[in-house]
Amino acid sequence: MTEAAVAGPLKIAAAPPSIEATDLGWTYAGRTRPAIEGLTFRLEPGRVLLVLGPSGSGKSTLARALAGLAPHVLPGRWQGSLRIGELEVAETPARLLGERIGLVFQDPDSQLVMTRVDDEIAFGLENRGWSRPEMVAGVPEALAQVGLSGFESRSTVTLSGGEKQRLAIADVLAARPGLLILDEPTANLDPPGMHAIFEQLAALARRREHTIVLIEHRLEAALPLADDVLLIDDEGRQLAFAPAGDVGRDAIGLLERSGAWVPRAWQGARRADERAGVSAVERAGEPAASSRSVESGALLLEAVDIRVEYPADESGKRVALDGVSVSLWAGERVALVGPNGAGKSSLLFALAGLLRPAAGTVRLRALPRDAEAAEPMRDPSRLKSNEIAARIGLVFADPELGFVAGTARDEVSASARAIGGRNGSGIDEPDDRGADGVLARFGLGHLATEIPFRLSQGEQRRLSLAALALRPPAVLLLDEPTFGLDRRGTQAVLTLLDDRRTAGQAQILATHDPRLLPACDRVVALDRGRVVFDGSPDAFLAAPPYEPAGPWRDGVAVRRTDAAGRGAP
Amino acid sequence: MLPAPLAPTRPAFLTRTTPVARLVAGTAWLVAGIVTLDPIVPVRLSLAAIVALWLWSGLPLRRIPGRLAPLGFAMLSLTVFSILLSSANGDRSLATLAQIGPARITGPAISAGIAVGLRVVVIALTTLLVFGPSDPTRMADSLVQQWHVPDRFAYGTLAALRVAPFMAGDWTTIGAARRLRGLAPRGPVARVREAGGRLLVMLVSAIRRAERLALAMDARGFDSGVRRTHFREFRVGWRDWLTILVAVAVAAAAFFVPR
Amino acid sequence: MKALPASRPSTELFRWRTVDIVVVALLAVAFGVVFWAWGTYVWAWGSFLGPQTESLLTGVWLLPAVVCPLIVRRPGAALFGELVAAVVSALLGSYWGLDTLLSGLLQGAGAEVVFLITMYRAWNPVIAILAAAGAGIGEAIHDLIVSYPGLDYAGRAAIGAAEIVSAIAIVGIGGWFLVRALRRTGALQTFPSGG
Ligand SMILES: Nc1ncnc2c1ncn2[C@@H]1O[C@H](COP(=O)(O)OP(=O)(O)OP(=O)(O)O)[C@@H](O)[C@H]1O
Ligand SMILES: Nc1ncnc2c1ncn2[C@@H]1O[C@H](COP(=O)(O)OP(=O)(O)OP(=O)(O)O)[C@@H](O)[C@H]1O
Ligand SMILES: [Mg+2]
Ligand SMILES: [Mg+2]
Repeated sequence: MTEAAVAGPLKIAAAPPSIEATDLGWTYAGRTRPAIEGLTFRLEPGRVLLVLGPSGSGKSTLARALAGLAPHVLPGRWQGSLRIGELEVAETPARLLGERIGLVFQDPDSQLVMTRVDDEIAFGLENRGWSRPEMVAGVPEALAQVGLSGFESRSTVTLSGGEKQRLAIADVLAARPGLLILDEPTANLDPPGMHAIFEQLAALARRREHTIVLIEHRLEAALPLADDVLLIDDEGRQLAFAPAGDVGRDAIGLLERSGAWVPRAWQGARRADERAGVSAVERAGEPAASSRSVESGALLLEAVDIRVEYPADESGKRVALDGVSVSLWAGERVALVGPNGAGKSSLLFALAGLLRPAAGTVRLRALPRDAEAAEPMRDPSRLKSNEIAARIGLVFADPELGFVAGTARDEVSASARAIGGRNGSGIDEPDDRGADGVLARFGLGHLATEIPFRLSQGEQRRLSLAALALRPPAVLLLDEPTFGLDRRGTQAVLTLLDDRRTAGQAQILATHDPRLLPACDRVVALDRGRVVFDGSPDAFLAAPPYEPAGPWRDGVAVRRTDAAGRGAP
Repeated sequence: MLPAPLAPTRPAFLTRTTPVARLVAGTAWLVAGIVTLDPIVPVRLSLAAIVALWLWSGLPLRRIPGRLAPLGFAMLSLTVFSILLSSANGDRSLATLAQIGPARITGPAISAGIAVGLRVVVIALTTLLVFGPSDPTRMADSLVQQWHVPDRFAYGTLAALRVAPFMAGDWTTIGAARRLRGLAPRGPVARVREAGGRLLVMLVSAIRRAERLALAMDARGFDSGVRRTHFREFRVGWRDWLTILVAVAVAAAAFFVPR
Repeated sequence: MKALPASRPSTELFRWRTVDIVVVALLAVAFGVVFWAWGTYVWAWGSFLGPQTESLLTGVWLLPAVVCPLIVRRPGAALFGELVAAVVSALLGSYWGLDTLLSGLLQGAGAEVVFLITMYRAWNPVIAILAAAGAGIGEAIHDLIVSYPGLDYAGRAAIGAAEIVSAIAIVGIGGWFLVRALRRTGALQTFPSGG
């Protein structure tokens, strides 16, 4: 009671603070290299800062420092000074910071605490000692701000990904923080969900009631919202801090070095100053378009009229796929798109024989070279483990769940050993040099003896691909392979996939990212468990089979117009 | 196969009571049910519990038998062994009712065995009456407000309960990943070893989840040292006192009223 | 420009961090599910082999009492872990319902006493085994009063012994190896046990 009286609930919104970093650095306990180092900038109150940098450059670390999690919750070494308004972060109790700062993370499922929407919003207010009448008034107000009015009694479990993420933003807004930090708030949302979030952010930015720090790879969506841009390099050092208007076209080289996705419209400017020694792929802001024709290969895998059901609690079965037919030919890359919950992951599982369909059939050709042979196609769910491993690979949305070995090197050789050792097909036992070669090709050479779980998110994703490299399967299924990766990371994944495809591998890539579509030969679109489109990427992008189609075609572009005009302090 | 959660489908008397009041009331039955070896007590309590479930719990009655079915097994085995191994069987002053091999069975042994088996029924039904009418969130709220259970522990546990269902999905995914890597086990030894590996990955993933969740909670001021307030307030009212009173009275009646 | 000393927000023994609470709670929830499944699918069959054999299966119920403290190394972890696991298995519908809370309390307390005697400083296999035995004694006290009250003294002694043996084997030794395996994955880095 005494504490609550001292802290006092904030009935009026905290004024937006300025942010002033001077030679700011942070090193996680147990690491030798700082995650961020020497950041020096000043953001005026009420402005929107966009933070750009490659994966692992320390963007999330900066967010944690701004929220006071470093140094107050996370162990590590702090350097320099970070002032939010008049408060020096490292010397201010977490409690005082918590009243002024709100932080939204990337994955909605790991930041929601309660099972009911109103309890969820109230959780943060209870923590801050708000009185009951204030909470009763504050909860609907916060929901209204993100367009979720009337959701109070819904269960958080039944919300869509986009709704969950908007709820997470409402959670933070409810406490009326002066400073709002968003760390990749749209990473695993479908384009409309992403669009909705950016619209909310644009509205927030317009009101200028918050200082906003936004971490986001999607430049075309984020840059129009930003007043200032902070670029960080691989090593966590500051490349540039400048008004958003000065970045853009003139600074494409800088943006590319930061690993950001550069909008297609800007690339003309970049082409003008071609540099020698830079490959076309690296220069372009987006993946190179696919150059393959579709019908060249043999049929490798097909699903005919399948229906997939999950056991549900009360109301009978939950149907994830219904009447779905898909075919996959050797040497083609198919993009699998659709809203959250459309059934993409379920389809990949069914194709890999991990989920047996309630109706319909899935059939798999043994190997691409047997295409002409009379060998019948078989049901993958009836193959033995080592047989299926030689034919189908699946990279899971969460690579960690697929790891089977104690070191990165063993991870790479594990399945090759299992396949080679058992079917006696004359493949040599893979030696460690083979594994090391693969690791080097995937840029993981220096991590051969590391524990897979200790790698960063991007490294884990690459390792999960590397694990399939010694004995590449004929069919590769990838669930959100570029999730959370920047342009450079995405490009690296696609380059690796290109090699395999040339060798005849068929690939299905489930993704939310329209930018990947031009790199695929065909698009299969799902909606509520049914196929609603199967055709060329161009045809898909010309007329996406969704309503509204805008976000699916253009990605996300939200206009921000405010009274003061962009760039005004 | 985890049982689906059992939630009230309609408002009822007990859904309007405070969870801790039901906890007290339920404890009275539990104690009465386990301190005696006379089978009449659990029989009476079970009947009372069925009536209470039927009239006042708001739970869907159709689903209760299915929920309790696995108990039959435990009941049976507890009864059988309590009879066979009862100390009353050694009492030479008692008449032998049956002789199974070397085992001699007496009347008091049988009645005590039945009492022990029926306890299972009392316990199960009482638990439904205590936890069934409100969800874990309300239970945590009530524990914190009425019994001053430390709130960081109560709500930390609640948060863990929310993410726990993801672990089931992880378990399936981990198994699927291993199958596709060519590492599915063959033979019993391999199966046990692989289950161990799978369990380990699942635990690692659970710890990661918990770490991320804890960070998000701290970012929302969970560890700020401010005294938490309550969005949903529970006050002990007449319904709660009535529930406790009736439960204690029923327990006493079941125990003391001669047959 | 000044470099603050490396911060260590976690060193106070009695100050549970949020991450300690959530990790113990989540592991305990998982154990609670294991309890329920073990009780429903394994123990129920085992129980037909008689109380002493069945008692050899009881060790599983003591896992949180040793594993949770070995991971977070904080006072109360054994009790907290056992209680949460007990609540979860009761919620799922175990045979023992509310009574699991009582056994959880006794089991947790049995292990907690051992850790308390070491002042929460020693975390070696011997302590793990002693704590497991402590939890087993707590379990035995509960079971002999609640589950097997009608048995003769020889029968009860055999059951108590079987439960303690089971605790030492499954929890003391098994739990120790489980935590060691977790540590080797690097997953415990943020905990004192991860070093
Ligand atoms: N909790 C932690 N403990 C130790 N090291 C960490 C921790 N979190 C991040 N790191 C390391 O700090 C560096 C910066 O990580 P950070 O998460 O800030 O990058 P990021 O720019 O947000 O990357 P991404 O775009 O992939 O999210 C990386 O080398 C990472 O491995
Ligand atoms: N294990 C499961 N149990 C019950 N229902 C499930 C399960 N997995 C998925 N579902 C349901 O099946 C439907 C399809 O889910 P799926 O994960 O395949 O969608 P998705 O297209 O991959 O979505 P996202 O883009 O969010 O990854 C959804 O309604 C989902 O809630
Ligand atoms: Mg990040
Ligand atoms: Mg999916």
